[in-house]
Amino acid sequence: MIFQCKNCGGNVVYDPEKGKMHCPYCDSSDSEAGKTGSGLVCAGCGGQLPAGDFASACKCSYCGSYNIIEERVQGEYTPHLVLPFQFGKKTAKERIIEQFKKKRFLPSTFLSDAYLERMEGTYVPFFLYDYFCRYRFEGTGKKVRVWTVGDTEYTETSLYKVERNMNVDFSKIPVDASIKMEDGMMDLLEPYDYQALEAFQEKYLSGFLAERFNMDSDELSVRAREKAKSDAKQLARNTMKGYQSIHTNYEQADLDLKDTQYSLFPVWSYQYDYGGKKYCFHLNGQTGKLVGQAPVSYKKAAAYSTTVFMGVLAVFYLIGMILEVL
Amino acid sequence: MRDLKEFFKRFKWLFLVIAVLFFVWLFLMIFRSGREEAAYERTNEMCDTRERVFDYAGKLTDYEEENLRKLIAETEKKIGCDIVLVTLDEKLSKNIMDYADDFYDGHMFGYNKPWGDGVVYVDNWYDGNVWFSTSGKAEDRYSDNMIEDLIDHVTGITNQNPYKAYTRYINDVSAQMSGSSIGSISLDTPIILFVSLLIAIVYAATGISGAKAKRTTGITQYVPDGRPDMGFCNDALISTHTTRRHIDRGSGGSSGGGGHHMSSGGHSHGGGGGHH
Repeated sequence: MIFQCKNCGGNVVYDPEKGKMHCPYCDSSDSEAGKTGSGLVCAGCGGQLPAGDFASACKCSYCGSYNIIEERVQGEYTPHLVLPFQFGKKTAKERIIEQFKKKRFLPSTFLSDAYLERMEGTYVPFFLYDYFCRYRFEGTGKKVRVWTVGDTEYTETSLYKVERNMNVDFSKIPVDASIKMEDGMMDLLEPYDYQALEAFQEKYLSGFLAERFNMDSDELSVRAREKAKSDAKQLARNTMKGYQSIHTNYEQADLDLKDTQYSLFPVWSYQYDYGGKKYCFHLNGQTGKLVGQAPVSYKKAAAYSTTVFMGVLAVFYLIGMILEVL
Repeated sequence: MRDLKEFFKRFKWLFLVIAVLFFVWLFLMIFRSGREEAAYERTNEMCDTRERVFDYAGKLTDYEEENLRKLIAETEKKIGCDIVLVTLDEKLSKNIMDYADDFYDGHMFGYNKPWGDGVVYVDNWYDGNVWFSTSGKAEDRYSDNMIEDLIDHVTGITNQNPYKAYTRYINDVSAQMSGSSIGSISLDTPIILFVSLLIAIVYAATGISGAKAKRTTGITQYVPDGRPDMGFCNDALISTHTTRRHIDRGSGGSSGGGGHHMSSGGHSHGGGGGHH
């Protein structure tokens, strides 16, 4: 389906800055009416949609309309929650430019508007896991105290039995359910402010790309459990202060799954191909946090570094020549 | 075109600094060429000789001696220093440094006053030892490195061509005394190359390395009240033992130094020696 403007028939999209539906053709707001298509065909022009196996919202390659594929946001695929985009493409481009403009050896086209215009906002599927964790720890802690009297140094070593028994309630641990998005990068985009989570509405997808979950929540729960266990362990470690070292004798973290929610999180993505390599950049569509390593033009690096070398050399020689003359 | 524009924009300050330094140098060169025409006036009337070339070893022809005298006379006016050359072929009863200092002091050399501004180069062919002694403003001007450079430069060809070597001595003194006292901080080419290369490497390395995004979630990010429910927390002492160690408190130090000295006549000299 697409959202059409009641006034002009244009494709109405969600405007993150205004927080409402907006027709970019006649500039009207909240004038949308849903127009249902069928299957993977554009509801606007009837062209085949580039939806692949998982896209739940995509842009028609022929007429440019943003389509929402209903069967991929309904039934078992209906997201419980959605975190709407908080800023649009213009701001996303500015964030990228701000982050990388001081990099010395960027390829010339990297920050050009023509390339940055390729950025796309995507709603990435996430599962949010609630766990109740029972954590047990037994170990031996070592404290060492050193002091000096005259010419003698004393070293006192004390051993302690360290025991912890604690319960932790974890709420909404996010794990991305997209094969396309690299897990490490998605983890780095965290955190999201859950205060802005809303019940899912299809209108939020208009103007953006979206995916339904690529894997089910059981399969992905392994990563959530790892995160919960790691955090529980660290929380316990934070209570073991003053020890030089701690030897673990027994450690156990039992997790009970309380709830799982399927949610869509906003991510701006920029892909740049350079030197036969793909460079991916992702921006948290809510907080603006940017993840991605800038490409390096080694041709430019060589030219600039040689200039610096020659320039510094020239400065030194000129100073030497001036001192000679003085 | 865009790359070229970016290149000039990025290095405008470097190019500006180079341009400014170049014009300063150009200005000084023009200023200096005007200044060089004004020669120093000799004011020492107590020196007991006008001779500057004392070829006791007989290593120079009359013609060569005359040429050296002329060159010394021109150079002395230009730099305001007496330039003395002594060649020997005898076993000295004192060390060559004392001989050089006493020779200079004995004749009361000095362009501005007795024992004033000047240099003497003593070359003893008997044992190959040489000594370059400085006095007055030459003593202030010459660093150890500069003296070493001069000695190496001259002794390198002395055996092959003494006349050429002594001409080189006079020309080196002329060049080195024409420079500034600040110029005694000599900018050696290998050091300049190394520093420039180092700066370029640091520039390249810092430009290539990029800061990776950091994890910005804390361990309590997904714990609603921010703290766990600690049911049991126990830290019980099991054992304690103490060891002791004797501390060795050694002492040490080093000292070193060198530089100027006083001649037997009580006059300050600098200098350095070598061998050919």
